[in-house]
Amino acid sequence: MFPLLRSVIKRVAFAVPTIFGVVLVSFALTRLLPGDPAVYFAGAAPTPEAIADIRKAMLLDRPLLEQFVSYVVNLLHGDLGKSLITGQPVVKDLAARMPATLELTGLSLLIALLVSIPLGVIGALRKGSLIDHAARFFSTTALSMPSFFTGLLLVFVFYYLLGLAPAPLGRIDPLGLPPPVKSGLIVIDGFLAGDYESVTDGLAHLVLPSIALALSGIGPLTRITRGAMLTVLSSDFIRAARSYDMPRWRLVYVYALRNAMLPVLTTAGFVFSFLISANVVVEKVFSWPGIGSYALQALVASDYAAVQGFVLSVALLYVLINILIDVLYGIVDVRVRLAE
Amino acid sequence: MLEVRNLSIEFSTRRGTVKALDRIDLSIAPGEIVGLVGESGSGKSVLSYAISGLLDRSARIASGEIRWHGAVIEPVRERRSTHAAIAQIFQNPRASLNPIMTVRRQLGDVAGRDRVLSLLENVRIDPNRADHYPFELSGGQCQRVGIALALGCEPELLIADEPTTGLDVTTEAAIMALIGDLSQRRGMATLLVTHNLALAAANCDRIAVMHAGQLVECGPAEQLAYSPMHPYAEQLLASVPQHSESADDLRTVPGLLPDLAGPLLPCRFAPRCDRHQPDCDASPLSLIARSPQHFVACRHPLC
Amino acid sequence: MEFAATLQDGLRRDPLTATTMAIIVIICLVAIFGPFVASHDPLATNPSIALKPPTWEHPCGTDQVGRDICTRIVYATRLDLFIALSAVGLGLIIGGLIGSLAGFFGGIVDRLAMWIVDTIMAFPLFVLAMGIVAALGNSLENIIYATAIVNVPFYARTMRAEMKQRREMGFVEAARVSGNGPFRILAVHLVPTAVPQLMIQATLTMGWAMLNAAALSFIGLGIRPPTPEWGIMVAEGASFIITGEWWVALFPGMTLVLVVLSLNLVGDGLRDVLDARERR
Ligand SMILES: Nc1ncnc2c1ncn2[C@@H]1O[C@H](COP(=O)(O)OP(=O)(O)OP(=O)(O)O)[C@@H](O)[C@H]1O
Ligand code: SF4
Ligand SMILES: [Mg+2]
Repeated sequence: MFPLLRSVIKRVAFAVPTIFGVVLVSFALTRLLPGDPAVYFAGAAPTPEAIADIRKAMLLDRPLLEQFVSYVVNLLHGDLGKSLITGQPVVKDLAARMPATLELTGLSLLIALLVSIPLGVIGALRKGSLIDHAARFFSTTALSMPSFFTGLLLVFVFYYLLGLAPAPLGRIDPLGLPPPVKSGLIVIDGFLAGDYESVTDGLAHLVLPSIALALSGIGPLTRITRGAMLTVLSSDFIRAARSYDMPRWRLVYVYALRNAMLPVLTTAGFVFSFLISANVVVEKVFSWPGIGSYALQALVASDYAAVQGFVLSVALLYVLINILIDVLYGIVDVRVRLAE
Repeated sequence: MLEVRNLSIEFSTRRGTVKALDRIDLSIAPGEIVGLVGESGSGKSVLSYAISGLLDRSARIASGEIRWHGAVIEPVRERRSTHAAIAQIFQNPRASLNPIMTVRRQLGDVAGRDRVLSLLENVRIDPNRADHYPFELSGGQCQRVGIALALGCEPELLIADEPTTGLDVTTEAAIMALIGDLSQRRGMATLLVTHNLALAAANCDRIAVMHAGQLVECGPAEQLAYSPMHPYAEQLLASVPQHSESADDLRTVPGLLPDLAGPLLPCRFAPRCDRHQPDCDASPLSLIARSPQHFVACRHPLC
Repeated sequence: MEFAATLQDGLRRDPLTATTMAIIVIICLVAIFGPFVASHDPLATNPSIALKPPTWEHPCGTDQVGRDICTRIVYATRLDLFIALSAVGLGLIIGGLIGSLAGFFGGIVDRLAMWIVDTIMAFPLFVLAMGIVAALGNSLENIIYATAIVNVPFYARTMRAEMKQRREMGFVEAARVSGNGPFRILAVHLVPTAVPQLMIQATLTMGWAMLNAAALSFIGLGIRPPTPEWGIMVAEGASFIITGEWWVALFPGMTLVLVVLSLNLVGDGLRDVLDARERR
């Protein structure tokens, strides 16, 4: 346990310059606003007093360095400012919507992995075959489809034409009653409350958006898996393992695949950033009440505190995911683990 | 037991067809240790991979066959079947072990969990090392684990591709002694692949010399080491330092190997040969028996 | 010009890349000359023919205010290509500059440059672009700036790797000995050698830049209706998907996919050709 803790601490320490950069950029973004930031942060019909208040709160009359320090101090207190549309602290708004986003992103990452790893493995095992070409074309096409468009196509086919999917209007039937919030994930909360109608309804609403989102991750993941698998399969130790006459499943799925998963894991972080980006537009298409659609509402209403809060928190989430992946990598790859 | 007959192997690459092996003939009997020598790039590894069925899919048999106890075996065996009990030790010991699994796990996968410790003992590795990963072991230890893995398959034929490259003299001697011992005790045949003729002469019953994908001479070890017949074998012998400590004054055979993807002369050594005569380029050469055991492929042999 | 020769050779062996290149050429021609031959006005509304499915007169149908979708796609092609090209061009200049300085000088310059690049990469890039456009203001130029900035890391990394690799080569030393300053060596001797690699990166990221820009306008940033632009057109068609008027979103969306797919295939093909050359 202790070495693990040490490696986590070490990786957090490594991430400090990046986190500093992220905070600096998001600070810069709040000051870059054309015109007077105070006017923008004050919202639609600001009174002069409100503007003056905000100017004071943002320390806009003080030197930049002082402004930055107070920005960081506020951040450390979990203060991202107040949202104009909801009147709530931005942090609270984001926290309330985070489960919806995580539910969608998590499920789609799972789907993406379940589709692209077999696809990449088959492509590598049968390099140059029809299946390989088909898989490559599929992954390039998936990479070339904007997820807002994929989402719309799915809605058209599965809702309008086939009537299989529910209307793209959020996480649960508008007339249905959501289960009491425990984890924030409807499917799990439904199970906890024994409300299986909510479970199926929640799942039905999740399917299309998560497929739309997963498609944007399948392209890069399939490519990486295929490439990594090809490299590993042509490596000396696989040739050696072949000479020891071990069963083929063990050769491919234990010896080759486990080694090929290392580069895949490294890319998973990048794929997550793809997904969280695509998440914004997919949430719009499916009226999904996550942080992405919150940011979009805020954009439309020029609610800058909310927008910047969203950008910053998503970036910090991404940094966190990358730390997590690094730690995982260390667990899978003994060389890294023991080198520490 | 093993018979390679008239074997030619080609690789199709972007640069063209690499004619890696040219009409190779070689046989090995049970309990025999046969040395396969030649400089880097002469096709030793390609031949040994062909015998163990490990060639890449880009390889093509242009002629000939390999027989194992009389039955034909394929040089590219995607799914190796256990009936050909041929195991291989690899040139690059560390890269030939799975980097993310312990020695115990890998040995157990190959030979069964209960045999791990006795196999390690066989190759004289401390059983405490069983739970180490390859990168925690020295090159010599990795090589010994590789040998343990190969022996775990209980082969009738062991192919050892440069089992001692990169190892110090003491480890080299220990590993050679181990292989010699196993041949004697189990009647296991060994094909010892090396670029070091002296090492082969000291450990083998017979030696086969390869140059640029051709087998140029093959005979009993002492005969070949003391009176080589092929000009290449002679030069190779002269390039072996007398005292193996002073590896620095290694004389190499002058000239370069021909490009195996380009046009080739019947005798691929001709451009480098000081005994070359016009008739050497006339027609394809084949191994000629100079004595019942000793064969050479040369129009103007040394004796 | 050796590169051009390998390219020609490679294309002959790879008909898919050749085909997609042809598609791209056609699309460029449409972008340049399309508006001159388009039969309709992209902005002219005509409520009496609103939301009509495709006919000979309107091959892609009409939208909710009776505009000809086909004409709008043609005009949008011009705009979207312009955005992607300028964003990639700008990104190339900035990224190339950062990367070449970092790779050539190393040391503190390198570390600073890599910190900038890593910081950009620490954001999910589309989200960063959103934040930039939100902060700078909602306009066409800002879409271009934002897309350029999020592309900078890719070019900077490529350029840096190339420079690092070439810095030690003989001709640099020769140029230095014969009295050339570092900037002259960079500009005259080093940067041009990295152009093929950079061009491949540019093709590979061009499609992505296009998706990025379209997604920005899809969520309502940057270009505003009624300007014809693929993202906006799909956004306008979105609400008609659930009522069955599929053509409003489908045709602009498909055009976008076709263009991006072609770009990605060409990028892959180019990379294969170059890889093959380097392997030789
Ligand atoms: N998969 C392959 N594709 C193309 N050419 C190959 C392949 N494998 C080997 N060759 C070629 O076959 C020739 C013989 O190579 P091989 O590895 O057998 O030499 P070697 O005698 O084992 O040399 P070394 O002492 O360096 O191990 C070389 O010219 C090599 O380039
Ligand atoms: S055949 Fe001729 S060229 Fe070849 S090795 Fe013998 S003497 Fe030399
Ligand atoms: Mg070899």
